[in-house]
Amino acid sequence: MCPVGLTVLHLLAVMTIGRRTLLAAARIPLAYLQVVRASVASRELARTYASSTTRGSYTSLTPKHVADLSGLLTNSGTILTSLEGNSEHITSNLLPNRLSEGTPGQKVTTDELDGFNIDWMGKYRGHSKVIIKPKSTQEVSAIVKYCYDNNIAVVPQGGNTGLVGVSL
Amino acid sequence: MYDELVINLGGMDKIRKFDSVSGIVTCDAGVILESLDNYLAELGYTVPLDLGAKGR
Repeated sequence: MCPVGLTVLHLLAVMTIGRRTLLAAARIPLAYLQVVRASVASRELARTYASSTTRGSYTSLTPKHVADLSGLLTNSGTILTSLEGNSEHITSNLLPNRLSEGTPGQKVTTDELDGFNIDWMGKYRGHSKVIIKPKSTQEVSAIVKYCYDNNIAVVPQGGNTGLVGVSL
Repeated sequence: MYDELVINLGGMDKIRKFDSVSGIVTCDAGVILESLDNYLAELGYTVPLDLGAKGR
């Protein structure tokens, strides 16, 4: 429906700026690469705020705490930890049956906790060694009560999809 | 950021009840906003909250 005169004008305009357009198009992949490279770098250097704040005087988690917490998970919640010596302790003392099912007190490597310790954007990094995944509000309640009584710091985490680093 | 206990609510992801008259939904604290939105979209409703951080 476009008048022919206009079409010709358009064509002329395109020819005039054609060179520039091509140059601009050539720059797009480069810009894209730079963005990709930047996001990889930020993942590697996932920033921690530990340098700009001081840790509160909270209890450091021990295998005994993990064992106690496992005992609070009555509705098939799970607990993951990279703490050393944890599994032996639980096996020998408290939860031989449940541990053999491989659910609570599961020993994992630090890398496996990265999914919980690095935020969605790969920008911030936490250093938690114990992740607890309750299945009911009763479990959440028992866990928070235990942590309060024992002066243990907690971080509530949903899908860890937040974009501003508050979930770690 | 140090060595806190992470309480991950990802396991608490049940959508329990939806009342289409009052438009009130009852769900667990770990439900991913996007899942909830998808669930309600099928019923012709939407979550009046839209965050960039809403899902995966």
